[in-house]
Amino acid sequence: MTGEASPLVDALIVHDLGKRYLCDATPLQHLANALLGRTNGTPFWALHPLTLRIRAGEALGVIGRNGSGKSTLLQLLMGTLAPTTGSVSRRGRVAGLLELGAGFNPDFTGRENAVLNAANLGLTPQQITQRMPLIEAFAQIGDYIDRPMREYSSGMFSRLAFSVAIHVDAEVLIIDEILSVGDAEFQHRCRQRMRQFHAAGGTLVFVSQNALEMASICPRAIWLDQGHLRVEGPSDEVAAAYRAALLGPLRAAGGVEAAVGGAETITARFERPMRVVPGPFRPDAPQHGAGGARVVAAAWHHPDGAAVTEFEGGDEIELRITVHAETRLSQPIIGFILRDARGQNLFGDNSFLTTAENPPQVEPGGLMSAVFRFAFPYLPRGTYTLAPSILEGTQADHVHLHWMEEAMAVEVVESPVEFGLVGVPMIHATLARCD
Amino acid sequence: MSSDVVIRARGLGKVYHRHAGEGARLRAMLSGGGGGEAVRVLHDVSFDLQRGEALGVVGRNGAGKSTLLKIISKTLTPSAGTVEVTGRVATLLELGAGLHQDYTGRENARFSATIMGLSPREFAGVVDRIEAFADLGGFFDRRIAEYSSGMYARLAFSINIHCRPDILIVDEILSVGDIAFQMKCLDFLRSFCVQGGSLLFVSHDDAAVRALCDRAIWLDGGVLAADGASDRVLRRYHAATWRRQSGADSFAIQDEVPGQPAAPPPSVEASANRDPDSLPEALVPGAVSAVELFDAAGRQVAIVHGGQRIEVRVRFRAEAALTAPAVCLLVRNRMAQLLFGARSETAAPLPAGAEAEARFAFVLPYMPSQEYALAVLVLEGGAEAPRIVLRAAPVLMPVSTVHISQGLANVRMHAVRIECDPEPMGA
Amino acid sequence: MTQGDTGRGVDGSGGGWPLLMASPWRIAVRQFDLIRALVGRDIESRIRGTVLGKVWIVFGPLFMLAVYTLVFGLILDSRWQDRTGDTFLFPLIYFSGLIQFNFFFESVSRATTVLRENQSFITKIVFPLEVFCYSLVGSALVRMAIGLVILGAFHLPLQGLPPLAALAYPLLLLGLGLFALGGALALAALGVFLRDLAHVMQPLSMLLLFLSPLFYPLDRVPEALRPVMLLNPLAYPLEATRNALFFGEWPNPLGVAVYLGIGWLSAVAGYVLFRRLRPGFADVV
Repeated sequence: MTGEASPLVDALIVHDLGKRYLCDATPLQHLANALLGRTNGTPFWALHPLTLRIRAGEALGVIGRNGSGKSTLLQLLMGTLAPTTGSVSRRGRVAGLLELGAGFNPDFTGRENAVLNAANLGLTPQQITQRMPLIEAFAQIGDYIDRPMREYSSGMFSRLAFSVAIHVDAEVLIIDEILSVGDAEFQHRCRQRMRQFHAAGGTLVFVSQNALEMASICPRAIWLDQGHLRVEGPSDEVAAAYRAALLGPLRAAGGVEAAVGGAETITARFERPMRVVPGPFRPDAPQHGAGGARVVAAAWHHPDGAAVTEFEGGDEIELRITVHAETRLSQPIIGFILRDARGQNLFGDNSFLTTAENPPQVEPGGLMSAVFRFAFPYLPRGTYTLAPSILEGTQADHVHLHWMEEAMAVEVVESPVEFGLVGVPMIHATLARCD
Repeated sequence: MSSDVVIRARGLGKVYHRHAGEGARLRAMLSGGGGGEAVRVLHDVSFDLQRGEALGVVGRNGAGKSTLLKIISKTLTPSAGTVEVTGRVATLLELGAGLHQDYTGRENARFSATIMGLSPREFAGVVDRIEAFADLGGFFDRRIAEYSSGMYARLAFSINIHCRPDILIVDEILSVGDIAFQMKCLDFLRSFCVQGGSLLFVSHDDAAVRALCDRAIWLDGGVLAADGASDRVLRRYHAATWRRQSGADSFAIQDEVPGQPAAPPPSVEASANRDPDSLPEALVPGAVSAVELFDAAGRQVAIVHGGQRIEVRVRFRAEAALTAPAVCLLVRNRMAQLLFGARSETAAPLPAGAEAEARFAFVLPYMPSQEYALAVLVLEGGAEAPRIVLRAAPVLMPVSTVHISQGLANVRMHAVRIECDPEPMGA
Repeated sequence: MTQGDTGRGVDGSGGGWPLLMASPWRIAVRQFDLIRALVGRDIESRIRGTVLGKVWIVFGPLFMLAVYTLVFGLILDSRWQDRTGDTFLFPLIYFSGLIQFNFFFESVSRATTVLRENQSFITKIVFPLEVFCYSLVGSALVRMAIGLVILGAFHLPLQGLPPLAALAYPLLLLGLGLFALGGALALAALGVFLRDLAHVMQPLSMLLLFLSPLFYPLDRVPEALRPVMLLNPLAYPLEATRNALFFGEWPNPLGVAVYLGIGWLSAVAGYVLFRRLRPGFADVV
């Protein structure tokens, strides 16, 4: 989380803000309510009066279940809803990415709709002309931008709508669960965009049902439950309280989280051993890559260097992957993945973080190895495959120079793990009468 | 047509004609179709879907997946080729389609059921189950306009699956909603296939395709680029994506081991059979009263971390005597896959009404940050003839792993080092 | 652009009578680009996807004129009261009246449903909703302008250049436009609550059509009823523009001024009602 909240300036001051809906009233009664200030109908407080300050440059999380008043609060913050009690003072424009594509007409092209939508959201014609290329680039729908939106898939529709919405000027951005649209890559870019906005000093209000995601973006959060502000504070605490309540009648006593420890030194083993027999390295396994380097060997060793032909689950073991460079490598990353027989990704790692500060340079013709030391997990019986790779670049942005699938079969010939994808040995698993 | 093939597509093609203007289009239509610029959205797509099979459909946006699905669900006519579909098709594609905003959830359920061919009596028989599965509370009788997207997805899914379809076509709509719902859906989809339903699953989520589908097809630019075991197809798809991203001319792809036919991976069904959840049941009155998480210091916690030592305590009371009781703890991910689990020791016999507690202590693997579900089974009969006597509703276990984690249950490296050969090898 | 920086959604005026009185103008100026975009979209969307495209924009008025000419000019061979003129004067008089009527009525009747049709603009984004009313009036104005062009195209060869008094036309049109705006604003706001209004429009159009001095001059109406007729905002401009355009009579400047003044007031009143009811919109849609 980057971007420092300015302590001197509040972006949004919410004072005693509440919203009461009057339900089950006839249309005439609603009219009388609006015109004459009557209060016909059954009152329903979607949001009970609350007070809140949001500093400029802050990222505030809002968490709560459906019906907790989240949407109501957002609409009040944005100004699309009038409060029943209290007030909202805003410093700067508040833009909400709550509903995408308001006013999109399927008969018109993406470009035409984007232009009108941008105008609806408050941009002047000059600003729209300036930003259209950016909007186009972010949405990444190619030529389809000049096709009628009738022809779009829902993913493209959302991408374009989102792209317009984030190019609108605002000092405060309110983002709802719409971040769940689009494929993983697009979501990644959206989140990146959000972070950029925040890093540049924008104020962010992020609404979610997912405590973990919210906690990873916002340092401070509030929890809304049935229209009440239940907890306000550091997002870890708020998330814990929210989670605890979700677990139903089980409530966290004390509710304090254990700090994240380092690697646990407590180990447990199964009673029966799990025997692993790695197979030979197969250079002609299915593979792809741009070339420039090749994975030439993968081998297992004891930590003291001795080669192994078989080992056991729970053993400390080293996996060495050797790469031969054909061109000069300046940011090499060596990685591996262990997959099960269905191709599901069980675990893996790569050398990026180890070498990120000071990547090793390898001359053409040189050899480079990455050695990974870990405790081999317990796995059920079956055949597993190793997929080693050499990439060039960074974790976020890289090119596959050589990627091999099934370069080595790793056979678990006997195993105490009866079910599940992995085995987790129990330190103890007791059952006893309570009294 | 063999009774086991529920969808048979042969040579499906779809061509859109782009015209300069509507006048040109009209002239073209009057003179028998065609004309203008032909955009080939689908070309020569053929495949079979067997009864009881789950087929994944992968490909980039715009590759023709939606068009193919629309043709199969008969909302679009193909320009070429044929498709034979046997059975009732329910499609759950794209939020926002199909349900009327101004009507309540219940009313929409009735409309959809009627459209799908259910009689009013049949509908009356299932409406309660629809309501229960969707779990919307009072919102079931409020207008759709008031629903959030998650609620909408739950309702749409619930309606469709209860209309007893033979073929289900589902896409990313499943990714909306919380883990409890996702698990319910995936659970349903699995048993749907086991009972003979067929599934077409369109997704960008590899893990979901691998977990749910034995077979997959890859549509690339409207053409069927691969058809086979889901793992292989996904690999090819990704390799092609990486090639495109790398932009390098020299990007080579080698798919199979030369001279060796690919062995089929074990099926989803096979791995499901080892799940303790499918042990025979002999339920007794009683309940699991608590499933709680504790850290190494004995404090109760609500979020746990990968690599952390935790203890799960389960308390239950059975109203029948148990001679060889044990407790089984299962951890599942949002796709309802069993990640790992454990059985407690078999304890001394418990009289009826006695309360007992099981404690499981272990180091949590470095699982990706997500919500997981803890399921608890109380077993009787020891190791020889285990039966399930009590079940607990799954309890959410949110995991937060700081260490960047991939893979279903990652392993933390203790050390990573690099060795470089000081001397470059001779040419 | 400073939309959305008040606690009650967007409105043009903060406080004070002078600002409020000027609001119809201020909103038009401030939101001009948006209004223009919406009007363009509205007109475009009618013809998008049609084969004949822009032809349809002129087709309506042309067809109308042709039918009137046929029926009233040739078949019925009517004359406008005792004033003589040739056969084609009559249809042109009707036509001129009808395009004004359509301008007014279209704005007002579409307003009853415009907000409901655009629900997302009420609850999901911060948007100056009154702009919809302006754009309806704007669209209707564009259609009317086309009608005027057609009118001119036929008037010129048949009657020669229009008399000088025709210069009063734009002012009268402005007045009518202000009434239309006021009506649109009021009905748009009320229409959110009372969906009945949309149904009322159809019969109301018939009523208004025959109660306007369109097919007959005001002097045909019995003395007693004449003041009632003048309550109709169409009454004055229909009479005045007809007299100016076809008979070369200048309208009374005082009358024009009063008309404009009342028109302006009605626009302000409509806006006040709109603003008053706006906070309640989200509760009802």
